[in-house]
Amino acid sequence: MTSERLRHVEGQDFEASEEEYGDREISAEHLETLGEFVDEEVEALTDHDEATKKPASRSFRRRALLGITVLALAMLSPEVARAQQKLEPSEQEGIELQIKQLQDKLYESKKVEYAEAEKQRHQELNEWLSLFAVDGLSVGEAKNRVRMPGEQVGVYLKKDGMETHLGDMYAEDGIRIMQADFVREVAEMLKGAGIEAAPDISTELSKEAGFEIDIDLETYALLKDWGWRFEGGILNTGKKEFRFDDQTESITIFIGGETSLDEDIIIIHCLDKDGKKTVVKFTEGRQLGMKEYK
Amino acid sequence: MGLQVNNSLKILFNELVDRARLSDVEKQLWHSLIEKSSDNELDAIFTAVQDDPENLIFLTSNLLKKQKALKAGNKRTWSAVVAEEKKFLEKK
Repeated sequence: MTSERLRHVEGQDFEASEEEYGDREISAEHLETLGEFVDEEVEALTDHDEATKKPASRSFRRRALLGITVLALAMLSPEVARAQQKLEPSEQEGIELQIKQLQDKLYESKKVEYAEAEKQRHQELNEWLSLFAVDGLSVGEAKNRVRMPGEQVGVYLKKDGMETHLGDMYAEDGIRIMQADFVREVAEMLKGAGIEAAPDISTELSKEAGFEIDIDLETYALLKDWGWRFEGGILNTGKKEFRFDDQTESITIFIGGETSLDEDIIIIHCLDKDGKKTVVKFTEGRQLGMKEYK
Repeated sequence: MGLQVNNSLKILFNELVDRARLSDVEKQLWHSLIEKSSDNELDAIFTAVQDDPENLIFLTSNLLKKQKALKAGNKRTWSAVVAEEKKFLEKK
């Protein structure tokens, strides 16, 4: 962000800060202080406990805070410009360079954060890939990156020493790829590559809860594609992560550490032992609503 | 999975700002910053705001406080801002 571009932004604000602090100019001493500020923040926000898996939202917030400092430093441009007017050209360059170095330091810190978050995320995605039990399958950088926000990953297959790019996928919500989308996309990629593989998520669902599952044909087809089975009205989802709550009479489906089923594709019709029918809708693993009907 | 190439980061970010519980002056500030900054400068902030729109309220206050502290070279103010950031990170 150049000094010129920021003049407009600065002009809007912050008369209060002018009153409070006066019309200060950037000096060498001041720049040294700013350097200390940046060091203090980077140190305070650095996650020293890398062994613990942190929620993605915390990582988003940490990087955002460093990004805010980059903007705040850029907003000092008017002060820098004023100071430069009184300096020799060589000294002017020095001030600009130092501000840039501070911003670069913040960028570097953000990069480290990104790299760590990406490493953890790839581990998670590779765990999802393992559901397909296809050797050599892995996630990596998207081959065809697009200029849009959100997660972008590529799926690769290594076979006989050769790595093939099966395809890329992009987060629909502009943030992260949900597990249901991921599994569905990978299934399509594998199919496109002539590999028949369904995610291995089938085990027995206990009928003890007293519920039988009747499911609409579209959902049936989708879940069947995922390798789920329907036997005698019972949905076998795998990993025993299909949970019935007696108290709320609700059903929750988990297909991993983070549940992710889309609202528009999961509508399950439940028929209980007393003949009561219930429609349960899910969105991203959370029960969206439950409606009883006769 | 549908790919919405037209939804660039800046358009989406401006939409989030418009919907946020911010004053008109704060919204105007963000619109200016979004217009004048590169995607690279904005991406991390955008992601945090999209993850939880309430984050924009804290980040706006954070930006203004940092701007003042940087301008004044005020170490005490800066340390207070950093302490607030640590609490913000601990938020569920």
